Amino acid sequence: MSIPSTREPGLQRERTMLAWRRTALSAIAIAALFVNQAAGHSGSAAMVPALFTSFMMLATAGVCFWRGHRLHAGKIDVGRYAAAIITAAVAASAITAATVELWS
Amino acid sequence: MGPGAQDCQRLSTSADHECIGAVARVELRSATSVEWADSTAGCMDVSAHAAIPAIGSATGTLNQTAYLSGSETEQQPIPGEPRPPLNRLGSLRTRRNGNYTMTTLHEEQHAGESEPDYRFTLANERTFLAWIRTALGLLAGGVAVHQLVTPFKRSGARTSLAVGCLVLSIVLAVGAYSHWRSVQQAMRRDAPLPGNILVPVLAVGAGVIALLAGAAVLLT
Repeated sequence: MSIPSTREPGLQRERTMLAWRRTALSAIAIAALFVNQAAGHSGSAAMVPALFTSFMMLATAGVCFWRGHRLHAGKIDVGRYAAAIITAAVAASAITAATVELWS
Repeated sequence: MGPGAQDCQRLSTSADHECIGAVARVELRSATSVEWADSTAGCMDVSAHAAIPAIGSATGTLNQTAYLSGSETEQQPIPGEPRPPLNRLGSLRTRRNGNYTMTTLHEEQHAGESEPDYRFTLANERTFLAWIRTALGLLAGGVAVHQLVTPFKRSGARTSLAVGCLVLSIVLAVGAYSHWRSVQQAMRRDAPLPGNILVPVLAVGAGVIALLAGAAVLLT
């Protein structure tokens, strides 16, 4: 009986890769929300924070896809930088959105 | 990312049952050149075609100890056999000649610290991602409240709802990161896992936001 040489119990890498991919899709959906907001304010100064947050969410999605791809390729390491980057991006987006909310 | 510290690769090969428990010390000089330095425990034929694809998928590991065994015996332990010893985190300790062997790669970083089994590292990462997705959901909620909800009579209600969602989102994102780091640290030190304060924070925060929303609707 031949067993695939890459088989591992619990499919840990695949599950983690899918978790990163889910996170990336969530970030893309929120980026679309912010782009919609930016389109509503097109031409005015209120467009800037919306564009900034949508860029942040797209960057988050990019990091998530990169990390998932890395895991899928079999490179297992502690995703220290990826975790720090997406935390910073989410926090920055939320702070920006809260500031806009309080000012408007 | 220390060199090779986090790289663990379990080699599940098509080695037949004579090879169960064979310990092969594999030294990877580079990503492509593989050198067998030491092969013990009487396994005569550790076939290269079985091992090299798995090794090739490992990253630039400097020293890797591979415990080769039949993988179906790992999934379903033989009844009557003693369970493998577990530490406080429940991680499987490697057993050289048993049926539960698995690959771990320990490289001492500081005194008393070693990288945990990669499965726990990945599980910790998934937990972190689940919290980040919660934070992203709250971020979306805050923006959606601003965009979609028609203003209440009291204009402060909508703002406070949105800002509540966004503040909770920030707290969860930062808390998720610090929790992930502290769990990783605890696993390296083989210490008890820290408690999670994010669960009560999320419960109370969601409750407050729901109460705010309910009050806003009722007062309209």
